[in-house]
Amino acid sequence: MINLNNFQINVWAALSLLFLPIYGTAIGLLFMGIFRRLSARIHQRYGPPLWQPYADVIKLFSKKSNFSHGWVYDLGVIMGLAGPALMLWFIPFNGLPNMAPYGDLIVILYTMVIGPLGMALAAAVGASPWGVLGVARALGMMFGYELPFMLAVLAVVAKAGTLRLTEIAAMQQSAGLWNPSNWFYALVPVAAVAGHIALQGVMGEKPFDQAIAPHEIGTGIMTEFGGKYLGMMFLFAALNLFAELALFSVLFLGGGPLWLVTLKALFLYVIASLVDITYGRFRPDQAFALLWKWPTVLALIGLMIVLFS
Amino acid sequence: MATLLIVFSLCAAAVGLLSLVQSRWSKLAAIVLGLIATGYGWLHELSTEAESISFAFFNSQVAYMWTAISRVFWPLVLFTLTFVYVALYEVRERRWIESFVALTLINALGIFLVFTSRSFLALFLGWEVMSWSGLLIVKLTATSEKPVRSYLAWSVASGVLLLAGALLMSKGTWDLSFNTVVNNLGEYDVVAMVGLALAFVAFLIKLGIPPFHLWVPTTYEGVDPMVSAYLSGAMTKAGVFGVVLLVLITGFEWFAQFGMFRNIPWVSFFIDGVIIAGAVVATIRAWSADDASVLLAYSSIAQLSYVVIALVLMKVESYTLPAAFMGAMLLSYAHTLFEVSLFIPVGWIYHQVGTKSIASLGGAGHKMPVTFMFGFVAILSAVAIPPLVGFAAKFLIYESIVEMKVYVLSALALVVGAGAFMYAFRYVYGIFWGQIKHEYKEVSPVGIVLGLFSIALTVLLGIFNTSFQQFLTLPLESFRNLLTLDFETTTSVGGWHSAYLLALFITAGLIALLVWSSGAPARWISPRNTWYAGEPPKPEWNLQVSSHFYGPFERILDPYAEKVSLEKWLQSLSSFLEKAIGDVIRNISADLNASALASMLLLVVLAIVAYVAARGGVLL
Repeated sequence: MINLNNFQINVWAALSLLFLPIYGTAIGLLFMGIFRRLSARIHQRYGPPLWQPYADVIKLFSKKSNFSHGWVYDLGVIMGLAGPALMLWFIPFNGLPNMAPYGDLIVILYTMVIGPLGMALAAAVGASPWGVLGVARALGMMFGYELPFMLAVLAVVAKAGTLRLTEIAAMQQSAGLWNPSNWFYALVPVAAVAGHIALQGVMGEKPFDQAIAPHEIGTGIMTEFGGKYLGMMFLFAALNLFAELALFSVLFLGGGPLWLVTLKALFLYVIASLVDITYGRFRPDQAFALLWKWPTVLALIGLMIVLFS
Repeated sequence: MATLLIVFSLCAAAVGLLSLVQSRWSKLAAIVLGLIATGYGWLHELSTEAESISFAFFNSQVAYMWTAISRVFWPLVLFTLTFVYVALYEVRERRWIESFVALTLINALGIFLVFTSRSFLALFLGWEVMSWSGLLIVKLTATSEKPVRSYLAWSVASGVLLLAGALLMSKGTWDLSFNTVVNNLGEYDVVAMVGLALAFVAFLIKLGIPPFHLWVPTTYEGVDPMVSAYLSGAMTKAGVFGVVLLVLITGFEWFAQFGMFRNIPWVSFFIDGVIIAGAVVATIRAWSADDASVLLAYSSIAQLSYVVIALVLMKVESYTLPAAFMGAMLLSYAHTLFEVSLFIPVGWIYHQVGTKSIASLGGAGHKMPVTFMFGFVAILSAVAIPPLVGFAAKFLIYESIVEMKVYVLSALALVVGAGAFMYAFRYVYGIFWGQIKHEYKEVSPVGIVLGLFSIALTVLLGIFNTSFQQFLTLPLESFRNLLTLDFETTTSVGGWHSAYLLALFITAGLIALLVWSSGAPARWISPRNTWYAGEPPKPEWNLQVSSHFYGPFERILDPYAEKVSLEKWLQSLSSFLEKAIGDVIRNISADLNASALASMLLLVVLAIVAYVAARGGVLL
């Protein structure tokens, strides 16, 4: 929390807050590098180096010719990057100043959508049908994964009796930072598994990556982006990835200091990557039906267990 | 109050006479007169005295009083009137503007009478003024008989149910005052309870809440978007008032007498279950609609469902206003603001290109960016992007549902919220972006002032949502106490701080801007130029994704939506009502017009004033 009476602490708090999106983006890019490497090794290829995503971003921002479709297009990508940064500030990390006391889970869930909405706006301004089809698919999938994900999150809320993320994290850490017995993954396991399946959809990983689908709709939203605009898209994807994983870690895996949450996020991402590499892409209707069947039923059972126990 | 009635009636009569002239200046004069009446309405809003009009009618007292609840509801109509009248200036149509202004003034009067009513008979009289003038408003721009018949059938049904419900609640005594009804309901008399159910259905019909919503998309599709803007922004709020009234009369404790499940009355579970299922179906119908007005009609249905869901679960405490009530009221304001701001751009475009079919639209934003921003900020508010007013309202509603521990309902409400992004994107892309159509080469930007005003209001009402909560808790007191610089909303399960959120949003935006600026400056190129690696598509190529936008999801959800919503059964009921009621009344309504109705209303108002004065009644 920001203490208005102490200037030094204020400066430290402000710098920490400003540092958080930079850190999140850097870690997100590292995760993307890990994914590419992991995927290559499983496919028996050598794969690009871990720092390849950083190089890609630097290259994209160094391009001398950038093309824009107007100020709404620019606004879209700026809004896209601002969204996950805003979301990250409301996630509590032990020992770091954060804004979690000023925005509960409902605020986080809605700030989560600002980034993708910005990118969707930029895609809409271009005339490429592939970009718009990508947005249509992404929004349809959001409608799909939102039901099991919300039910799982509300199972946590029902158990904790609060929507405040700081209290949810503190409750899980009451038995110690390293003791998982109070983590909500252990306390509401059925709902947590459902939430974990839905998380695959939230991150847009296979079998729920219909929004990108390179062989069907030419990478979807990204089709119209080039140069620094594609660089902004990369940064958005990286920061958004870290913010989503951090949120899940704080909700179900006990949270903790930034470094610990980063490790938990990495653990989650490696699992997600292995599923992504193993599975093929479902058709949009198949993926949607899957999300509204098994994870939803599981989440509902999980919630009922919490309510009637 | 009496002065307001006279000012509105005189302005309506004057504009009604102008509708007979229809000269070059009559449109402007009508708008000015409409704005003068609305201005007086705003002045009246500042009045803090509990004025009243009352007179006896058989055994029943007809009483209207300017109370705290009236003052909370009345600005909803005034906002709508102000927006729609200013927007009409940009409409080139001359045929119906004067009649429309006259009829909306009469309709607003009817709604005013509903908001100030102190007995069910008084409410019914206001309801009828509103419904019949509403019929003429619909008829004014209807493209076929279908929307008129649909509106008429459901309006008559609503009026009959309201009167029958009121009579049953009074147990046939004709004493229809709210106090008597409260006493009768307190005895749990079966007849009174049936009356309550009928009145509740009557209000739900006006609100357009599933399963009584069918008239809304049918009517909005068949009339001018400016008419839809008025109906959606103002007239639906009479339904909200009715539901608030019934919930305050009965409430949580009263519902609890019929049994509880996990501390929630079964009645609340049942009503909310039906409404949330309807809201999910309305959301699906919204994103698959082709007509922009139908899309907005279904979005309105889904959004107003939240209001009823929250109110039915509301637990009234004597010492504080519940979050559900504040959320419902704030959402009513947000709904008026964003629905009007969404319909008006559609109206402007419709009057420039002659269609509101999304399949035929696209690219308007390239020519009218400010008009786009007008609609865009409104749709962001509708989908509850923080810190806009739509978010401030839905935040309170979600928190109130979680406070009541109805978690499955919370999840479904959040899913309806997620579905809102789908129709929001369809509105933004389908109308404003993508390929620039040949027809749009001539369209010109409109609504700069109104657009900026709407955007400012949407943002400010979101940031100062705590002041709005103050407005609800400090009724009929000095306005000086209303503005509060405490931006924090706290409930028993969470909270948010609107000013911090705005500051963080701006900071995040500036960081993103800085990152974006670090690359070389961009050169503008046409959206068509980057496609296919430098091979620009031919002008005749259609690049717009116009129809079956969410095809795969529609295919999987449509069959379920049809079953859940009982659409076929409801459609048959609607057709039956239209046939039964429509044929009888169609001939009567065919002979009515704006000037005749305005003159009649003026005579009625003057007669009532003279009657009350002669009887020495209260007329302050």
